[in-house]
Amino acid sequence: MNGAPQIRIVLDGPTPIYRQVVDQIRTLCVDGGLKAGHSMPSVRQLAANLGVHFNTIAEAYRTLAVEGWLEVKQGRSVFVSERREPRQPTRAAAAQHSSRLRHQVAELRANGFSPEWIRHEIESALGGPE
Amino acid sequence: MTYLLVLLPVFIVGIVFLAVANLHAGILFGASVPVEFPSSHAGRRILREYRARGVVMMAVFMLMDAIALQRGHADLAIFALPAQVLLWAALYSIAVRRTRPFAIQPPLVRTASLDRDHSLKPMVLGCVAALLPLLAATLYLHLHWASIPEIFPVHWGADGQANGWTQRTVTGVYMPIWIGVAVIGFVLVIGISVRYARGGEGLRRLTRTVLILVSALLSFTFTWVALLPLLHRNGPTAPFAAVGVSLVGAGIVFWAIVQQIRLRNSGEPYDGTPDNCWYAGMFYYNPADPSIFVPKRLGVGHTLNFAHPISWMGLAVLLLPIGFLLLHRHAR
Repeated sequence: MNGAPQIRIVLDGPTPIYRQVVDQIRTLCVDGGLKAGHSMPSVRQLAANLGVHFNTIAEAYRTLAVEGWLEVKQGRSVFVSERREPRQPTRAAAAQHSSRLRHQVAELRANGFSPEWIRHEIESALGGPE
Repeated sequence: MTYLLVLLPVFIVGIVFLAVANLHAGILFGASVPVEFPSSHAGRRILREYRARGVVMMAVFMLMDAIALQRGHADLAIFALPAQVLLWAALYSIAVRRTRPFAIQPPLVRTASLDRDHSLKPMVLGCVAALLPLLAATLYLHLHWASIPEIFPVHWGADGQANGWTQRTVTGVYMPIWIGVAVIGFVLVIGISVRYARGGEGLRRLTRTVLILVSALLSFTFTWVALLPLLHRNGPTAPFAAVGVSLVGAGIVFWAIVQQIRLRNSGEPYDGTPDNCWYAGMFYYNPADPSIFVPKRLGVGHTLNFAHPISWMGLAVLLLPIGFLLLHRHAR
């Protein structure tokens, strides 16, 4: 309607709502859909707009703040952070993400997606401006 | 003039009932259906029959009203309006029953804007601006207090003749101003609360624009009513202004319907609410839904989730003063 960044959740989908919110906001931050300094809706407002529990959004915002994507200022203001270069990942974190990626690829292969398609999608995801 | 006063509401009610059937994407007569169903053979047939019966009924009512007015039964014509609403409701429920076999489990998809609440500021400014004519009227009445008649009319019948009077007291003169300020204040509270309503920014902006227009209309109406003691000496102005207010009100309704149709065609998922939580297609009761305001299925804008006590409290805040005023008037 007005080109504003939107979030879209599926209530009866397989992914928990909390995870959908975190993933979509993170993707928007990475893709440039949400710029540093962008003022986000408050926890209460976003929870009401989506019709989900207050704690679901609070938890999602907390996770994104810990990851460095959001900054919760005094009171209720939430902003997209000016994120610095992420610190060097630990070996444990690298192993965890490698495992998740392999599981995801295996699931895609099991559902009939070709290796070429998967490669194209990963390259396309990596090609976004950061 | 009386003809317009009586026939205009019949026409407006008819247009509203004709439009509400198919105002939202994926919803027909309050039931969740595939988005393309209204343009399918079965969907078009249900809509066509509902509209054809509705138009015939509206024409019959307007003809009956015109005959009643011609024979001097203005009160009879006014009572025909609730009867027409009941018949429209009956037609609507027939169409609901015919649509239900085609209903689907709606996709529980919800969207929200991650942007700031941009339409809040215009809403607040619009309501504050709507208070200015009332303040100006207060000042004008104060300065012309001596010119106000000792007793002046405050109520008129359908024939345009005054049938209720009051005295020149602070309450009698300033009551319309106080009511106007209270009603516009209530509209402002609703407009601010829409921040916490379900639905996208487009629907929120539409609801607030309608509220701004309504507050402007209310401001004009109450300012004019407050100034009547000074205006009526130049002849009865009540019927003319009532027709004017009705025409502007009808304009707001039509504009809102057109905007809602444009929003429907934008392809955004609508409300993501289960069908079994809607009663008569208009009352939403879902204790599992934390939202207080959800998009309406019948009409334009938002409605309350009646599973929350705060919805009932809001309704009480609206209805109690109206009940008090009616009782006060009856007691007098």
